[in-house]
Amino acid sequence: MKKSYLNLITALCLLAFQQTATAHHSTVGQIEETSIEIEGVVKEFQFKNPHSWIQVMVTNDDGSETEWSVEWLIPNILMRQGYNPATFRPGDQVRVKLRQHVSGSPMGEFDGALKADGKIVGRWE
Amino acid sequence: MACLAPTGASAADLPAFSELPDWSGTWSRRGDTVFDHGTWTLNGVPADPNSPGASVSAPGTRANPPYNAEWEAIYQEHLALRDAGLFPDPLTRCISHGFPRIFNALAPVEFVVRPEQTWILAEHTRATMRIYTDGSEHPPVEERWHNFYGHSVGHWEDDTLVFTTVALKGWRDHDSVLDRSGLVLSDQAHATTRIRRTLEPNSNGTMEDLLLVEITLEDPVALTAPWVVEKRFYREPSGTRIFDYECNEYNRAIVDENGRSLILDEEGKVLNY
Repeated sequence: MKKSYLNLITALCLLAFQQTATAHHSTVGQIEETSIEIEGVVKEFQFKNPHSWIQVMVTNDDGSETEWSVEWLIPNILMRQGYNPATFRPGDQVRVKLRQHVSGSPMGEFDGALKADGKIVGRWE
Repeated sequence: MACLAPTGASAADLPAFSELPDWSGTWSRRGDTVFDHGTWTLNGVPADPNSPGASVSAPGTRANPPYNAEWEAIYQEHLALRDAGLFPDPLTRCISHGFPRIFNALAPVEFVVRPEQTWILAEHTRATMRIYTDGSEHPPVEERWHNFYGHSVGHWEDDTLVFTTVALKGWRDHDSVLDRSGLVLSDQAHATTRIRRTLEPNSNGTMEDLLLVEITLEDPVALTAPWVVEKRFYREPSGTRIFDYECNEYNRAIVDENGRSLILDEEGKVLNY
């Protein structure tokens, strides 16, 4: 699994962007301020209310696999931003930037993704 | 048998469609999602009033609901829980906004104006609020069913819709709040709302449509004086659609007995604690 840390300024800017992502439930004190990056294969894009989830299978250094749950905005807002259920397809190779839960669980809030075809989803800086 | 609310106006007394204002299209609120702007935070941090989506009121100014001591204490308790991420927002359990929180909803709303009723249709939580303008009155106090949206009747004053709302749940069952900060009122709260369309210059120098919503909240149990709050809705570009929002479709967040928001995987395993 690859991890790299964004700079703090970028992360703080993303806080404002993420307000609506966390509106359905509180994430106060639960989410790291800096982003990490994972690389894997999309298992499923759950384009459902009240929040969408991108399930990504990541191969660890020891060869085992971990399923990451990456929470994104409500589908309604995504539709207005030009995204749809086909934005991520099962089998897509992706690099995903997310702010992980402080518990260390394989989950977090979506910041952006870079797909194998070079397309950027969300923010990729 | 009295199955219908009494009506005091005949069809002839109602305004014609052509006399009603054009509130067609979809409208989005600008500004924050709370009524007491000075307590608004982003992820637990006091919000920068200049950030996108910030309050339309004076920066950093608490709007000060005029609570009595008992209800101010409740509010402060809720704010502390909110700051700790532990306030049990009914929205997390997919409970609809209710009134007046419908004007704090995240997504666009529609205002369907008819002579005998106006409907406010909010995408977020699929909320529907009905305001009867057919001359009917509120039910007698002893017959009122207190619920999330209450009972609203109103009339037109030129192009302004004026309506009163009674029979709200308030905080009696701990499942109806005014906003995400935990602002609450009692089940004796009532409101007078005025909505009118106007024009406002935008940053491009052109004029844009604005629906100005002014709500006067009164509560003999919780407030010491009427409290006036305001929300602003701007017309979205033509063709903007309202989408489905079924909150219970796939809600992976639940609230435990300690107020924590738990995130579940597909097998129901808690991921974040």
